[in-house]
Amino acid sequence: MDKRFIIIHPFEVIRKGLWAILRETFHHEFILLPRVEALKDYSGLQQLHLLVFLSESLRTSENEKFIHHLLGAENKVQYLTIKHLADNLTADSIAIEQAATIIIDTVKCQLEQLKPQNNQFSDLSEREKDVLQLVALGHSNKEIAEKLFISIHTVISHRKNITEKLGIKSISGLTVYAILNKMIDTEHIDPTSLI
Amino acid sequence: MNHYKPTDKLAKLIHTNHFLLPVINRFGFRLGFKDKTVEQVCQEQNIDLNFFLTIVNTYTDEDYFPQNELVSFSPVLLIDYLIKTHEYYRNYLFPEVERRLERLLSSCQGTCDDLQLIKSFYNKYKEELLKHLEEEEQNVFPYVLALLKAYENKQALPKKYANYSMKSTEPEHTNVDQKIYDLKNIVIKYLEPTYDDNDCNEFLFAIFQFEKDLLDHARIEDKILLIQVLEIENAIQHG
Ligand SMILES: [Fe+2]
Ligand SMILES: [Fe+2]
Repeated sequence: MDKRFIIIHPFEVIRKGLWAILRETFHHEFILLPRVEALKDYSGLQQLHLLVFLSESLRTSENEKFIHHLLGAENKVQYLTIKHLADNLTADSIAIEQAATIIIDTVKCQLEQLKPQNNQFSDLSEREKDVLQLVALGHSNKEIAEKLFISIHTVISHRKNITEKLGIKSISGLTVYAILNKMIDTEHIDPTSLI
Repeated sequence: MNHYKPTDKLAKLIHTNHFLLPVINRFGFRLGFKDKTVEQVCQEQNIDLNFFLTIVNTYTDEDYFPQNELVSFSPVLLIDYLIKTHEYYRNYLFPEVERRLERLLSSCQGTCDDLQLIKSFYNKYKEELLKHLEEEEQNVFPYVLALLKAYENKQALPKKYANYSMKSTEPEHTNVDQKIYDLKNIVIKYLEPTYDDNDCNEFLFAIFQFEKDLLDHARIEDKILLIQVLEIENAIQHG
C-alpha cells in the first residue's frame, strides 16, 4: 500500500522542519497543512496508508472523526501527535525537542505496527483442512465449492485464512505443506506430480 | 536511511551492506579498491555515476526511488545490467543453491522423503524462473531496444512489435517472488529436522540471498525500467 505523510500543524516552521527531517528517510509524498479543514481538498485520496501528524492541540476526537469521515473509508489512517516536550510521550507521539533520529525511529515503529502480522498462529480448522487438501489436489475454487457445498466466496475466504495462518502463498507451496502433513494419500499419487 | 553518495568510499558500501558484493561485480568493479570513492571508480571504469548510485541505493533501501533527474541514464545500461544479473543467477546462484541442497540431502538421516519434496519444489521453481528470465531476454528486452532505436532515429517500430507494450510484455513477478518465500518458510517452519543443521543453514543462507537479489531485480524492472519505457511509449504515441 502506498503511503502518504500528512503533517497538520499551525506553525510553518514545525511543518517544514518535520518534513525536512522525515523526507530524508521516508520517500513518500508529503502534504503540509496549517489546519485540519484544509484536508477537504484531498478528499479524493484512496487506497493509501495515511500517516497523519497532528499538533497536540489538534489531536481531538472531533478532528479524528472529521478525518475519518473524509478519508477513513477509502484509506488506512494512522495518527501521530506532535508535542512540544518529550515528557510522558506515548508510542504514537513525537516531540519537537527530540533528536531527528529518535523522531524517525518512532515513525518507523508506528509504520511497522500496521503491517499485517502472521504471528497469531492457530491451527487450521477442519473446514480449512478440507479446502487445503482439495487445493493441493489441483482443484479450482469452483470445483472446491461444488465438492464441499459452499459458495465460491467462502472458498476464497478459507484460502485467504489458510495462507495467513501458514505463511504460504503459492499453490505449490500449499501442496508441499499438505503432503508434509500427510493430508494427501501419497501411496496412490506421485507427490511430485502435484507440485 | 541515508543513501550512498558520489563521495562515499566504495569500501564503505561493502562494509555497510555486504550483499552489494555481486552487485558491484556486475559493474566490473573488483575488490582491492583502497580508499577510492564511488565517483572515482565510476570515472575510471567509465560507468554512469547516477546509474550506479541508483542501483546500489535501490538494493539497499526498498523504498528508494530515484528522483526524475537521476533516471536520465539510458535503458540500454539498465538492460545490460539486468542481463548480467540473469547470468549471475544461471551461472552462479542456481548451481550454488543446488550444491548446498545436495549436501543437505546427503546429510539426511532416516526417511528423507520430505527433503526430496523440497527438492521437487525447488526444481519446479527453477523451471518457472528460468522461463521468466528467457521471456524477458527474448521478448521484453529486444522490444525495449527496438523501441528506443525507433524513438532516437525517429523511425517506425518494426512490424513485429506493433502490438507490444511494456505493460503487457513484462511477465508478472508476484509468482516467482511468492514461491521462493514459500520454499524458505516451509523449511524454516514445517520441515522435520532430519538433516545436519549447518548444511541446512548454508542452504537457507543461499535462498535468503537469492530472494533478496530477486526482489531487488524485480523492483528495478517494475519501477525503473517500466517507467522509462512508458515514457518513450508515450512520447512515440504523441510524437
Ligand atoms: Fe529479469
Ligand atoms: Fe522480471
